[in-house]
Amino acid sequence: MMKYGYDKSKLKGLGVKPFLDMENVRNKKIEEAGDSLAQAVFNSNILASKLHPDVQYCLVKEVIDRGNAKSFVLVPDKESGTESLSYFRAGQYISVALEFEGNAVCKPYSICSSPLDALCDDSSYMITVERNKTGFASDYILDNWKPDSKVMVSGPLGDFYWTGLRDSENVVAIAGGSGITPFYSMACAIADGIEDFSLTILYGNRCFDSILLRIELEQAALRSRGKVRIVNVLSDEMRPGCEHGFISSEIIRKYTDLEDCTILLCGPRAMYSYEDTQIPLLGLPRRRVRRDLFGEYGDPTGDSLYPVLAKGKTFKITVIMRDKETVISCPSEMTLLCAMEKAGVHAPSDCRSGQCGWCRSRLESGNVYVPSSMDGRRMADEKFGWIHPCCSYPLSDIRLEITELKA
Amino acid sequence: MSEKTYDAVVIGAGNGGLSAAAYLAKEGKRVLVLEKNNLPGGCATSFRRGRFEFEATLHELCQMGDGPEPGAVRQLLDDYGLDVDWVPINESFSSVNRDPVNGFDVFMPDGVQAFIDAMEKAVPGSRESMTSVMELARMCGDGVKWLAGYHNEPEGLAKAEMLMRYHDLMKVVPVSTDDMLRRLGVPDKAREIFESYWDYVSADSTQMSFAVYSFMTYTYLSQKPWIARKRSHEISLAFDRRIREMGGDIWYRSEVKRIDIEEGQAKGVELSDGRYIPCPWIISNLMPHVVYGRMVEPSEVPLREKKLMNARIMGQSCFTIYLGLDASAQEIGLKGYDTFVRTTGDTHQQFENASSLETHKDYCVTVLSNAIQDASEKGTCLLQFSKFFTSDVFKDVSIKDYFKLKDKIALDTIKDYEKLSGCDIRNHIEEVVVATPETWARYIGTPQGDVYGYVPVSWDGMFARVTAGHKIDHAIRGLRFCGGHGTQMDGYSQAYLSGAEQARYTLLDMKEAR
Ligand SMILES: Cc1cc2nc3c(=O)[nH]c(=O)nc-3n(C[C@H](O)[C@H](O)[C@H](O)COP(=O)(O)OP(=O)(O)OC[C@H]3O[C@@H](n4cnc5c(N)ncnc54)[C@H](O)[C@@H]3O)c2cc1C
Ligand code: FES
Repeated sequence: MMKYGYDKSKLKGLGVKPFLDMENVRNKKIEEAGDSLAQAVFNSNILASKLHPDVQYCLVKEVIDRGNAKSFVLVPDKESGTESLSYFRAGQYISVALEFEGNAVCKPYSICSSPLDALCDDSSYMITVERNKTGFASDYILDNWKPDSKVMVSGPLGDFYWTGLRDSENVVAIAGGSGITPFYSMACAIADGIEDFSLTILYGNRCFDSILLRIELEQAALRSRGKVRIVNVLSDEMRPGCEHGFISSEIIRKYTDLEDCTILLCGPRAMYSYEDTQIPLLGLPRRRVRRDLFGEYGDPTGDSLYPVLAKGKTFKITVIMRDKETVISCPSEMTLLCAMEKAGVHAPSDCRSGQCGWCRSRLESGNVYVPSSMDGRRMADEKFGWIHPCCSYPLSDIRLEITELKA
Repeated sequence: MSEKTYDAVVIGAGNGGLSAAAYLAKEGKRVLVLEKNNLPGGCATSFRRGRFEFEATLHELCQMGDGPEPGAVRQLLDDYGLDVDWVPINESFSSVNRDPVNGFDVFMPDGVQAFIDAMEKAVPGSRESMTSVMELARMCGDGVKWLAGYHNEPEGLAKAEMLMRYHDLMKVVPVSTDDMLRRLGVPDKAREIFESYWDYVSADSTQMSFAVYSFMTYTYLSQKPWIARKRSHEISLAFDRRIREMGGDIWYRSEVKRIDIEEGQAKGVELSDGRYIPCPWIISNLMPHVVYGRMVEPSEVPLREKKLMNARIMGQSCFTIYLGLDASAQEIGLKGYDTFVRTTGDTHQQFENASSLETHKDYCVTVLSNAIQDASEKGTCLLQFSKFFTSDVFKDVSIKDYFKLKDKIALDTIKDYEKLSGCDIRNHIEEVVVATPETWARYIGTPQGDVYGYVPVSWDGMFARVTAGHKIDHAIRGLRFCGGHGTQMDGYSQAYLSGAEQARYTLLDMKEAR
């Protein structure tokens, strides 16, 4: 028998009976309890479903023409089961589901209104959509959404919002074109008293007339008791009261206390490329500079790391959805996500920037190219062959297992 | 289309569900796992922000070890053939009690002897009684292992042998940790230090069986706590791969809405998209509260199950703060891997304090970068705070206050730790994510964000549950439960063991039904 070095005398008075009785005691406890059916839904569960609905059914209530862009006011479509729209943090986005001409796409748009508007009795969001050369989805929205159109959007998403846990109370926002939308939401949140930080928006546009939401921004600044300030930076026009040129490090310096600031950026690709040359000149630590989603990567075949052999080819993609398979094709310069969408496959996506993981799928066989700047995968995903189709390009024929969204 | 049929369906790909599925698949059963999220693991997962990958939950795995005598969990996971890069933690814990009179601040190493030595240093005169504690714990561990050899159901001769060999184990199972330590003459301070781990087992030391608690602690000390290099997501994905390799299927984004039960017999499950999967053998990784409260026709809920649910107390819900810092742990001065920070050494008082937002000042600090040096880029580190709540503290929180409250609790906690440790944390925060009971409620679907199943109070401890786990608690033919709410109590290792246990019982049920 095993020898143990404990003092047996300390167990004196303890018997094995309580052990042998354990089950009876337990049964008795159970027997004594009430026989109602226990509650299974608590406030946390209700909060959870209100803050993170799977889908929000909306109606377009109003369309506001803004020249090269339009704003759409969305309200809950109660008939389809959405009672009110989810509260959110200013700066977050929604993913809009679209189905047209055999495509099934989801596209992210920043919510361009105050979080308070979502919370009030006639709950609403606004999104502002700009016409651009490549975005066929944006064009579809601009040309087809009318008052009373039914649309389906996700819950609020993303982490491009201000938090005092991390960010300075002095925020300098650098916006270009429709990149103003999250900052307009922040400006409204400050004006409405639900956020408390000071926000200087350096807003780059070609000329004065192309400034999106100009009057609305001014109004929010007026209501903000000095917390919000707008500086228009015009590249193609000299105008009193406005800065001229691009949003250079000099202009940023002029409006920023570099000792204590957080810089937020949102705008088109060209702006990010330019700011990549300017922001480093400010010598700020990385945590002080945050960028909104990059958006789709585009054609990767010119990347220095791209394997040239795959260039110009088209591959066979077998898409597995539970116990179903569909075969589609995908040219080398197209993401697997886009190829699926074009084929009408209901593939999931939210950020389309490689970061959120919503599109995460299992690469059963074949090879893909993932631009390193877009690779937001978990380490183990890479180890076990899981990819984000929104930023993965085929290098061979592929078998891909996805989880289809409900149509 | 001819549809594939399955021998068994597992609902939920949390630790318990994955283990059950792997067990069944390994035994040659065709198994289908249905998971509502788009990745496996439930609590056992990770997430990315910026240049950081955060561990969602895993602080440490128990009953692992390596070498010729691995622990039961290591053996089980190796039997499944999981491809995981395991990493040992080379310390036990740090524990800080800020009581102005009886406080302490200790670092406890791993290794039984080193632990006793450190305790003697912190509490002179504790050596003899602590040695007794450890020896009793070793005996309990041997007993647990012996019992496992009989799948926890010793019959006939084995029962007699148990009485002979393990009567001392039987004696100390029903005694609470607190009582036993007092009985053994452990000085109060040493007792409180020894009880530091209680938060991980969800019942305080006046409720928790001495046998179970001391056995767990002993295993941590003798076999080290373990984690996975690529976060717990690596374990979950290793399961995913093996289950498929062994012929099983896993469907993600497949939420089960209804379990079809007819006259006390499981018939199949229905997904939220309307798809029906017929199958008479179902293992639920979701807790009975969820299954009976939301997924089963109320008239089919057995009376005993209703009573059992009412008799039990829901386990802790959780509040976690994940920080990616732009300086190394060394530069910031963050020490240790796991540190418990409390305002009192009395675990029952801690349990009580944790029942309200106002009084819950305790937390646990985990510095992953002190266990895995390259857990994040050079010159950065990962820091996590966890608070476990013992009641539904978010019950009155409105949507409008939610974000503010979340940030406030996080800020208070971080500031508090800055004050305690003298570290500057706030000036290094590059990424921050805060998860509340609401987040957990959403992610794993439990009532009030419960992450610990049911509190193993004295009458509902591990031994009592295990004894009832095969027959007594089996209420619906073809439906079994596994997970952190199962017989083995909460925790990764426990959920894995519970999955294997219930899968084995299901196999026996299948045989019996033939
Ligand atoms: C912050 C934190 C730290 C922790 N640290 C540790 C630690 O260090 N060591 C340790 O051992 N334990 C730890 N735990 C506890 C441990 O994580 C849990 O006890 C364990 O993971 C529970 O596993 P489970 O099997 O019960 O599954 P769960 O994690 O509860 O998973 C259940 C699964 O079911 C899915 N599901 C739910 N509803 C449905 C449905 N209707 N249809 C389909 N699928 C559904 C969920 O999405 C989920 O994937 C920690 C927990 C937390 C929260
Ligand atoms: S859609 Fe976000 S990672 Fe692909």
